[in-house]
Amino acid sequence: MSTLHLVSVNLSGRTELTAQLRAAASADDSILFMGSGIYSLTTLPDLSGKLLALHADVAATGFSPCSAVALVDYATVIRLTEQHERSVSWS
Amino acid sequence: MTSPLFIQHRAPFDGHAAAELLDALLVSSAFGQNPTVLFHGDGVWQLIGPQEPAALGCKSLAAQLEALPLYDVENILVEQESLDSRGLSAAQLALPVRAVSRSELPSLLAEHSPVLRF
Repeated sequence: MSTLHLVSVNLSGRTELTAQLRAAASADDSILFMGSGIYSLTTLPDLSGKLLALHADVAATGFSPCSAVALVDYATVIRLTEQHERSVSWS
Repeated sequence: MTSPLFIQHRAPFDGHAAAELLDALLVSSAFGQNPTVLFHGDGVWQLIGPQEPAALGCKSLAAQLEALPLYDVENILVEQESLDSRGLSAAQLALPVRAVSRSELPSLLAEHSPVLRF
């Protein structure tokens, strides 16, 4: 069963956290970057799973995540929590 | 029914994460949920003893964690890679734990729900 990973800290410079997330995430998982987590997306992170960023946080900051990352709204986030069996918060 | 997994990644005496984890474990166990706890990252420092934090106005965390089996919290795991990168070994820890590899994270997640990370 799949997992929704919530990343709310910048992974840049956090090599151990990044390695743990990389090990934990599987191909059918979703990884949602929110808050300061969006700054992890200056380049495409080497993670398996669907990469998503919260549109409200991207719009609020003016930051442009790399184009391969899909932007999602809050309604989609709620749908994601329904579609995955569990969520894990990485902070 | 799947059982909960609690993950601790914070060093001892770093905010309230340690106390929150203990509360969550004891409540979960009291309700018969058979919780599992994994220490990784700086969370492994919570398992080092002896801790004498009286000067901080705190009790030894390791001493409290040692009591977990008395409250039927038996599944206490530590990530081997987190120990290795800190020059620690499972034998140095204040309580008996089972070392698991980072590569076991996906199966660990798949076996548990919900997952709470402190």
